[in-house]
Amino acid sequence: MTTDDMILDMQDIHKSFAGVPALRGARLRVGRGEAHALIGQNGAGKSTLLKVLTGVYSRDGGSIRFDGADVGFGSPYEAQRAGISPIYQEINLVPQRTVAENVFLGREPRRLGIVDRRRMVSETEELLSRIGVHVNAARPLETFSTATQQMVAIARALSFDSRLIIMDEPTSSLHDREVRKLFEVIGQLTADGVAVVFVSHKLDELYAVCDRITVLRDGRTVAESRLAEMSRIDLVAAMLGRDPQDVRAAGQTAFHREQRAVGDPVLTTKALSSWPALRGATIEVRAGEIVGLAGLLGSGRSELAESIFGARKVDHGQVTAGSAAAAAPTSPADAIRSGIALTPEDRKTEGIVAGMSVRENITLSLLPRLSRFGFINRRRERAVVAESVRRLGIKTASVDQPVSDLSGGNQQKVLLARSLVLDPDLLILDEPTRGVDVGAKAEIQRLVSDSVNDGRGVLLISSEMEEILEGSERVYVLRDGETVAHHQTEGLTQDAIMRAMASGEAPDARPSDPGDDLS
Amino acid sequence: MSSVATEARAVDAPPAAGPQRRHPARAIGQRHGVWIALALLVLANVVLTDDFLTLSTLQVNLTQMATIVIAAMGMTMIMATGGIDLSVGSLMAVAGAASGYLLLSDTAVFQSGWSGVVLIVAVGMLAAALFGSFNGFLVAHLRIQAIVATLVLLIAGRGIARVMTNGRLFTFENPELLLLGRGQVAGLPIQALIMVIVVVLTVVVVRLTTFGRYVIATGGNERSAHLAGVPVRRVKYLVYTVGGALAGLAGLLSVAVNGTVDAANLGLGIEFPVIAAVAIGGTRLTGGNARVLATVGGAALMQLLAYTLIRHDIPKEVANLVQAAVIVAAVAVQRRRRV
Repeated sequence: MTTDDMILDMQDIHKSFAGVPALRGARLRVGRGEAHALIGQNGAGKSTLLKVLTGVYSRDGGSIRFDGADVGFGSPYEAQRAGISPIYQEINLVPQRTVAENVFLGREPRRLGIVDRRRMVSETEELLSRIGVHVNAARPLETFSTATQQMVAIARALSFDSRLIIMDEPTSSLHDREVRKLFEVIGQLTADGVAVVFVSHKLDELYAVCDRITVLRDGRTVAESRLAEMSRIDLVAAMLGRDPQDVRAAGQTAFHREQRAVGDPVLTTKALSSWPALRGATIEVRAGEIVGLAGLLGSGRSELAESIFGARKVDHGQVTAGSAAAAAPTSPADAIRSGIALTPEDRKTEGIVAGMSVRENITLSLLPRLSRFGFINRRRERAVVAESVRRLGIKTASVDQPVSDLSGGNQQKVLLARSLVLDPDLLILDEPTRGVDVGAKAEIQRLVSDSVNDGRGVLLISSEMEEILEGSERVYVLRDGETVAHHQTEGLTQDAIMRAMASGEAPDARPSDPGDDLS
Repeated sequence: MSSVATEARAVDAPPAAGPQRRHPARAIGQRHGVWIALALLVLANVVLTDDFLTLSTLQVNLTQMATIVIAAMGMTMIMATGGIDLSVGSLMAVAGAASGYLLLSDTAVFQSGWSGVVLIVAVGMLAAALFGSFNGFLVAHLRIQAIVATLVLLIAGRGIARVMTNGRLFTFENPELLLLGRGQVAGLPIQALIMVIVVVLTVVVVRLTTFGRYVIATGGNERSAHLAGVPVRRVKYLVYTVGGALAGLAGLLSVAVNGTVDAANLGLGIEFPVIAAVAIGGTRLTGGNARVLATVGGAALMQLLAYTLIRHDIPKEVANLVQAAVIVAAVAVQRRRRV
């Protein structure tokens, strides 16, 4: 494909935030009328790249050519006028206004200075029927399903004569039938010469609709290819930065293993579903073992953790967790009472309370057990905190220092301490080493290995292959909210896990039941 | 540091020797600005105002402060969860109207005697607490923004109070209730002593109890708090209920001071000085800290400022400007640094 066939050509894009590079030489080239997949892990730079394109951010370096001309949009409005329309996950339309008003928002057709409603409605219905949607455009947007609202957003994009439509995880809250409809629409758009950039973590979808793909990792474009020429396993490997032929090399992490007696189950989920993220997750964790949970972004890992912890509504399926295999918890407080602890994925927004001290953060979940008649036993609190700080090696000038003064690794240890002081039967760790430096990472891995004991099972969620393979004894792989594989990690290769993450197929794909001999 | 000192920290631990990202003077300004300003103002008065250092000056100022401070204790906890209660003045009126019911009845116990006063105060506080719990229901369970949710009772609460008293203003003779408002113990107004008790109890709750810790955590990071097992809904519900009860107590003291029940004017517009006191004290509107004593300092500063300006015959309009300037200065000095 020559440069002239490209509607969009972004080269060597650089962008830093407060000195931290988010993009360092990213490239994105999209052909006219092409459906282009953009994929990458959390923090790979996808949304930054798209925001640079649509003028939300200004770039630090690099060039953008759109439709044959060098451009640099100063605002999303300029980008839209030039023919680039983003459609976000959270649809940014006005729910209370009619479909027609939404499509023409800001550019209402007028007659004698008065909005010409009839024309607005008929033109909207015409636009929508172009993509095969037949609705009454005079009705408020909120009376339609998410899928239809998305179609309205697409119609709005078409009304701007857009030649490039960006769809950011458009299927994340759609039902299967709606997804098929969306794909038909994308087919129509591309046939009409409109290019689509499609961001999704569901590989099936990418392969179903996209012609070409760009893979980002650490702010760089690491692969660019026709999708038909790239296997799923290569795609996942590029995204994770792994060579699929890699045989597991031991000793890359600081986990250690001991022989422990495996006891009773501390967690069992059966066909757990929580729309739209989970569609049948079945896992089991027993006391005395660390069980890994792997899966791509959007596979439902964190949602599974939240469902177990009572922080997310469960639609179907069973959870028994914690002490005496109690019934599913109804709230995090309930979960903690029944012996479950969770260290959430996002340290800043779900973990620490930045305004509180190290001490207050460590004991936040333990307070009911530290107090009598509502009064906190300060002496016991200090003792518990001092012990935690010592055992976990938390580096802080004082336990009364604000937790926000600590480094990321030490903040993560504070969160680990918050869970460990509860002495839980089931410990769920969601990405315990994300965003911490190498030294802290090794320390945390060692602590995770230490944290398992005869009475406690650990569920370890991680995006890092080494952590899963070396940290856990067994691993479940989630894909699109379903358990698709279950393996012993002993002798397992990264390749096997990545295959399961990519396509749900693995050498020994049938999930085996770990408890046959015991139940 | 993001002026994160809950006062608990300022007292039981020296400032942590963390990475110093603030100018030292700024840090002191953030932490003790209210007290420094108050001290300066006292000093200025000592020099400029005749007969300033007298017991009567103290009495006048304490009397003016008491109701505001009591209502501001509830407001401090509400704002620490990231909320606000605009209906505080109307809740005072509700408490006053409820007490009016009893005062107007023929029952002898409400005409004189301490047991009657205790009942009147209890009923008034309970009524206001009930209305406060309605605020809590709207904010915690229906997840309506606090500023909108409490607007409902700011408007409707006073209306209900006026209906309860048939729109009438009336006076009463209950000598013990009047004593509560006008009496003194050891030269100090009784209402000032009640204020001190309320402040001490609030400090104890915020610093020493699980509930206090939950309040700060809820305002600091609601999602984190929820995942850590903090019952954030119940905490929010309770702060509005407690805030209502304290507004009720403030309303009853106003009734006792004036010797009248006037639902139309009782506590009218008090939300402004109350919220100002909390904000000047350095409790953030976004929640996450509760500077209880500094709220008292904020109320004292505003009161003394008003007193000073009046004593020097400065027109009310100018006085309002000066007060506004103090609020802006206080909030600017204490505004949150990036974490």
